[in-house]
Amino acid sequence: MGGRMSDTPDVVSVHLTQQQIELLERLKQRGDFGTEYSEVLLTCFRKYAEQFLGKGRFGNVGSA
Amino acid sequence: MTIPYGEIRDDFVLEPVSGKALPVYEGETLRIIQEVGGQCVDFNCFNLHDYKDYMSVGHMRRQGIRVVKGDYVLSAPPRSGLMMRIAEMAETCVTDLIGSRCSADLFEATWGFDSHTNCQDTLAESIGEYGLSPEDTHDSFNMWMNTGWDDRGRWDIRRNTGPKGDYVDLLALTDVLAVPIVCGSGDVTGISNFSLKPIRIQVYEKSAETESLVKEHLDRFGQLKGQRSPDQYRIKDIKVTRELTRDPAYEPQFVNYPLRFEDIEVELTEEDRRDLERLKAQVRVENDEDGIRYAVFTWYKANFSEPNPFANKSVRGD
Repeated sequence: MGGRMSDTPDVVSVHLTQQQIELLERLKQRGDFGTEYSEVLLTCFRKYAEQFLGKGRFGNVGSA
Repeated sequence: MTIPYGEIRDDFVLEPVSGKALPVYEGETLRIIQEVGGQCVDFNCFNLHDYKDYMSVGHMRRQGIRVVKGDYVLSAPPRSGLMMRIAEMAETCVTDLIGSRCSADLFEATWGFDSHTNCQDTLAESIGEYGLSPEDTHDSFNMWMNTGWDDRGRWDIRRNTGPKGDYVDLLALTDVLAVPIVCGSGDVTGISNFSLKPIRIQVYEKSAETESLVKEHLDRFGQLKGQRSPDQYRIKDIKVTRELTRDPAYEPQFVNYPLRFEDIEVELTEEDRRDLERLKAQVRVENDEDGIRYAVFTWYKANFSEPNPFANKSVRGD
């Protein structure tokens, strides 16, 4: 991001409902999305980027 | 037909403009046929054993505003029942789940008619045989109704494309009171090519194959906790007075209320940041947080949604 200091962590706080957390919990239970909600969020974000922004950083994710 | 039905147990013609309420039992199939061609058909549907459980065109629209072969006739929440399945439907049968049933006021206001055939009154007269009132009619599942809609929801009527002999088969997934009628607007609106024609109705008895198909559907889609029955309601009785009065002792029990929230912090890499900026350039999100929420739950829905007649069917199929 333009103007960002490279040694400053780029942290975003995401406000979620208990119902959204419930969905993250399901992914956490799978084990391959991370062990903390923050990791699960980032994993999903990156998979979105791959699937919808045309990136190729990650392998395909099958439908559950 | 792709699956064998039982024997025909009923076969009659609905002359213009009339209708008929008729029981169709689980596993049976209702066939609606273009006797001449080019006739719009309106359809209502009730649970035969509980008239308060009836078809919800609004919820059927989750399948698309033009349902096709393989889609379902669904009842309204809190029941959310599987009522019928469109077992057969030719592509020449254009359906419409947006247009409301025509009514006497429409023809009076638009054309100055003191009396004109209309679907509200035809439905009401048809269901009266079962003790139901004009207020028990509901939005129609419209068949052979070739409408066009723009993004603002304004509509136009196009030529009816149903040829003689075209038919729609509705397989009953539960016992229903089916109400097919000849739409009464088509002589002046053009929805039936400026003429009113008969339709033929047939009912096929169940077969081993249709019974098996019904069981398959109910096993797969009839087991949701969200499909509730009156014994689960806080207020179980059907109100018998028309006047509304407040119950001062009533306390609503909203779902998951008060809702709890949690803030989760995520640390983005430089590549994540570039992706988030790309997303923000493509999607109208408010800020970084909104963008991440959008991405996460858009991705979740696209990849973890079970195909189900009660779920929204989007353009992407998720």
